[in-house]
Amino acid sequence: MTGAVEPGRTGRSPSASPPALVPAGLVQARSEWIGFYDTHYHRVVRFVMHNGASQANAQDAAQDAFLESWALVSKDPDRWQAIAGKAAWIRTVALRRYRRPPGSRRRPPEARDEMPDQPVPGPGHEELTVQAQLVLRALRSLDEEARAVMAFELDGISAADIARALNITQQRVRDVRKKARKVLKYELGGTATPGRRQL
Amino acid sequence: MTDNDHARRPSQITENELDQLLAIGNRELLDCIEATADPGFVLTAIMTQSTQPYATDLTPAASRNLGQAPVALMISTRIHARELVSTLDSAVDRALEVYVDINRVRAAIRARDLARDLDRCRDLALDLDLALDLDRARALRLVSALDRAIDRALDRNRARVLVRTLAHAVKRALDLACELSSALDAQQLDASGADLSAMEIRNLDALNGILWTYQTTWPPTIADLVRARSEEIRPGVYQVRLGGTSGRHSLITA
Repeated sequence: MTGAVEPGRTGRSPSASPPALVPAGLVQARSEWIGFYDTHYHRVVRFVMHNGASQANAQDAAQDAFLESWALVSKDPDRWQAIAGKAAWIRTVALRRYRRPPGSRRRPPEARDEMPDQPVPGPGHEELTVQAQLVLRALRSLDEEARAVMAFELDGISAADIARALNITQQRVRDVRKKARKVLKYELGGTATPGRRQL
Repeated sequence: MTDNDHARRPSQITENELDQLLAIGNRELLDCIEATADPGFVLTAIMTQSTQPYATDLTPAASRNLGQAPVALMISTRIHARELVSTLDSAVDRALEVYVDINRVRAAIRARDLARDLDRCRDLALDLDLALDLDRARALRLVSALDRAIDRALDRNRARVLVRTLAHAVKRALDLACELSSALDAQQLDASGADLSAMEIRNLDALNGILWTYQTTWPPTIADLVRARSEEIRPGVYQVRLGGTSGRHSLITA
């Protein structure tokens, strides 16, 4: 910190330093959490959208998940540090929050969120493109488990972490993934030339 | 899926084509989310909610126990916050220059300078966060705002699209820094008997309102100025009062 007290001239021990206001472990955990948040926030929103949510509901679920993780960091930083596969963990929490939102946001189990705004081809990023819409529609043709497996895979989560997150075996992950890809190939049939697909 | 559905589809696509389509859709969905969802806003909401249990006591943590937060540290923090505000103020000017020069070659150079300034601001803000348990939400919001501003400043390919957002982001960071600085200034500091002789204080602003006594040891370069700009508020106890603007911004040049 600039302008800090320079030791020595006052006769104090050079090693003396101001007492820490925040425990060092908590400071480190908070700092890491911010990096984690920055890296994953948008991707967690996308993950929940891949699981059938509208963007608004996905943002709510992501916020709830990160709030839960922040509470954990603040209360028990060691437990937060000990979580293996944090990327899968935060997505699992967000998905759980989406499927069972708290309080007044509770939604019927069979409800399907509306598709986001109509696609707009071109470079603007504010509206969903044709390709993004197609993939979302195709994913929504899958059952809940298959959607979750594919959503994890699209985010680069390993089969081992997917299995742990969904509480299934890795073999089950592979089987579900294989069937899901078969369905997706049918659903996305006719779009074999990426980038030239028109609705 | 019915037979008719299958009949409408010309053919299945290959594994490779499926991977390509998924990758494109995945990337473009992320672009859309990044363009419309503000993580800084959510971070603020998270911090606000996470501090609610403490809402009944809004007194900043550091000022609750000045015995654990040496006055020297608090003065340093005030100085630090001013430096942050000043650097961000320059950054806003640079952002506006980028906006004006967006169609000129030198925009990229200005953007790089701006990113460097913002990087410095981010370090300052992180230091502030570490020093201040009290204002962590505000400081973290500031860090987040600066992170976004840096990303945008460095993203040259999208500079044309993002430059307006960049100017807003920097301005937002400046507002937050001013807010943080004001919050620090609002805390009553008592330097009675403190030895501050080793501090490097180049701007008296950071001392405004501080209480002190004859036992307080000021750095030699500012001791006379502090005495000249203080009032005795009770026997033996003085308060630095810089007043409107005449005594403010007194830079020590010695």
